[in-house]
Amino acid sequence: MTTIEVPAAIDPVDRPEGSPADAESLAGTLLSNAARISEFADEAAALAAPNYLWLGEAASAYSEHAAAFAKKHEPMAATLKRVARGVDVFAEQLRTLKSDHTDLTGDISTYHRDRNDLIADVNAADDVTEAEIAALQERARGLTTQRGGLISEISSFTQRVTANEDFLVQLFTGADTTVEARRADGGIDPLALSAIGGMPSAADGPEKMAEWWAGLSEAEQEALIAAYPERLGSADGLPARARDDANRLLLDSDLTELRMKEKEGTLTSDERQRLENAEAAEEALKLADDYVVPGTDEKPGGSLWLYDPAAFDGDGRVAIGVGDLDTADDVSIQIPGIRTEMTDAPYYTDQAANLYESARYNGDGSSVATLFWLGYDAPTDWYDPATITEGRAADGGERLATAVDGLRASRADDPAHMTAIGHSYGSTTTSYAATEHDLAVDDVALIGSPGAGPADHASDFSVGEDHVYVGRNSRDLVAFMGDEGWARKDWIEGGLGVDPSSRDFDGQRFEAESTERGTFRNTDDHQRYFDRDSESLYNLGRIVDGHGDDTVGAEQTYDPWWRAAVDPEKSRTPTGDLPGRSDTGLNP
Amino acid sequence: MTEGVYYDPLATQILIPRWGTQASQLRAAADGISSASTSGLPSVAQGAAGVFLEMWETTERRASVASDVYADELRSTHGAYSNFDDEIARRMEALEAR
Repeated sequence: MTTIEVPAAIDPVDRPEGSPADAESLAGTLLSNAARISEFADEAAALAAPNYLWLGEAASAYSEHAAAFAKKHEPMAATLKRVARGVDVFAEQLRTLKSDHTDLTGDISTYHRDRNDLIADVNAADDVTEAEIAALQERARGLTTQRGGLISEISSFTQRVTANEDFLVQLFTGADTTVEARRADGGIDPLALSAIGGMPSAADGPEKMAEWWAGLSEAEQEALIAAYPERLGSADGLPARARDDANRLLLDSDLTELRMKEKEGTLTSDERQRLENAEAAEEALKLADDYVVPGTDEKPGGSLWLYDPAAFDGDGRVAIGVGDLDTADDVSIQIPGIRTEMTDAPYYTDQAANLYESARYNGDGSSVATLFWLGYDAPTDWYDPATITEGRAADGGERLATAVDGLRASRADDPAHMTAIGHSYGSTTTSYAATEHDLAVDDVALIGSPGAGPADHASDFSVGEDHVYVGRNSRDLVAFMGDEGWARKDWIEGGLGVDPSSRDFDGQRFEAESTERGTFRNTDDHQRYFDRDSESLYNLGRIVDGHGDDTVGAEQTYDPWWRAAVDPEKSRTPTGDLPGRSDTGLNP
Repeated sequence: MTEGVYYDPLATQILIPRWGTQASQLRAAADGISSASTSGLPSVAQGAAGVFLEMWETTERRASVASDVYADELRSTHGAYSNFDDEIARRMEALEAR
């Protein structure tokens, strides 16, 4: 008699308790109240301040007592805010766990179906051959292996559910007495308190940061994000997913606090600017999150890679990604130019989405992520003296190189093909990064460039001259500002360097004319490089996809000594939506 | 004893309503916390959440009462200064009448 060992059934797995939406609602209530307490502490401190209308012993006694009262409440607001953010982190993790539970339950059902089929076949087997017995045994062995895997997954899942619930309980119990509420570290999970001590400084480099993060448990990471989102949201070397989680917490917290103050009429002018920046980030992030590649069902998802709405005297710093920055085969980073502030984030996120579409549509099937990065202080406007000098570009170049090093370090074991695309003054910034800070990308594209900053020749770039691509619309007034021929920034006052589309610079110029281009040079044509179904977007997509060799080349500009600089592209008829030249996606 | 005493009634007139506003703000915060629902949390966390919310509600209500007390004390201080001023004036007038 032959025995077929059918593995045991698997008990159903409990669905994690709780509702993510309700937990988020509770977090919102706590955040609003944290903002109220913070406002109260500020106002109480102001009311306690001595003033010239009342002097004497009574006035001093009042001031002293009221100041102490105000001071007690300062840390309480921070504690409540930390707990609120922790509840948000719990809610997000609960959402993931519920989704994982659905998947796991599906896998268990499949296992039971296969198991029942096997039992039925075994019971029906009568007078079977050796080969049929071997086949049944093979199916049983397969099911045993499958069961082992599922049991292991269930165990891991259950541990994650417990860790998430423990984290929530710890949040509440760590801040449920007035003594705890008033402590500087009130509401911080002990796991986070112990882990934060090992966090390297930015000066140690992004590799150390990445190593530190990778060495933490999931529970420690979760606790750290809840407790220290300000430190983690901009920590170069951390995975984009972790930065995104931290920055979304900061964004939610800012929006809740500032909107409440706006409603109550207590916003200061600085706070109003911060609110405008936060709302722009919210809108841009929603665009990225909800983006579906036109004509397809592909939804790459968004991420908030950098969020600092108070930076640069209120201009803000922000970076928003389309696609998965942690895993994509091809990653691009777009550096904008003058007049770019955080409030422009939705416009640039649209461009990142267009670039994503182009790279995928004409691509080789590799996965893509595009990142709009405003991590430097771009000059304010055309009239800003900083616009015709390179100080901001030099500073921005260093910041850009550091940001790219961070992206690289966050996935050192899985390096992406990376492209930096500098537009307008951002091309000068990119040139600084690639010339003076060893920008760690594979390809560079400069578009609408008013000058390549410190680089005289494409070979000055860290990527090598064959990987420096240049797009210039012949009607683009700003791109006309670059030095040509004898007119060099060393000889004239101001200027941003050599026109990278020129023969002198010798980059790989590609077609970038627009069917909507003007008759004369203008600033509108400076903004058409990311238009859908345009030559420029087509070629940028090819570069991002790692196929810069496939760009459609354009003849370089040149400057004969007897006349003004010549742009051979001026007389060429532009194409639009032409396959292999300017078709960048399915028509909606 | 300080080097001198100066009291302008404007001082307390400014402070009293502002403390009153703070008291209202904290009452609103306490009400907000007391109405927060924990029903969407896992059962294992509901007890801890309840204790947590109760403590914060109590703390904020106490702070609102304290703010009201500041307003009351300042009102009373203003009354004391005024009464003292009136009393001295009355005595001076009485001296003149002798």
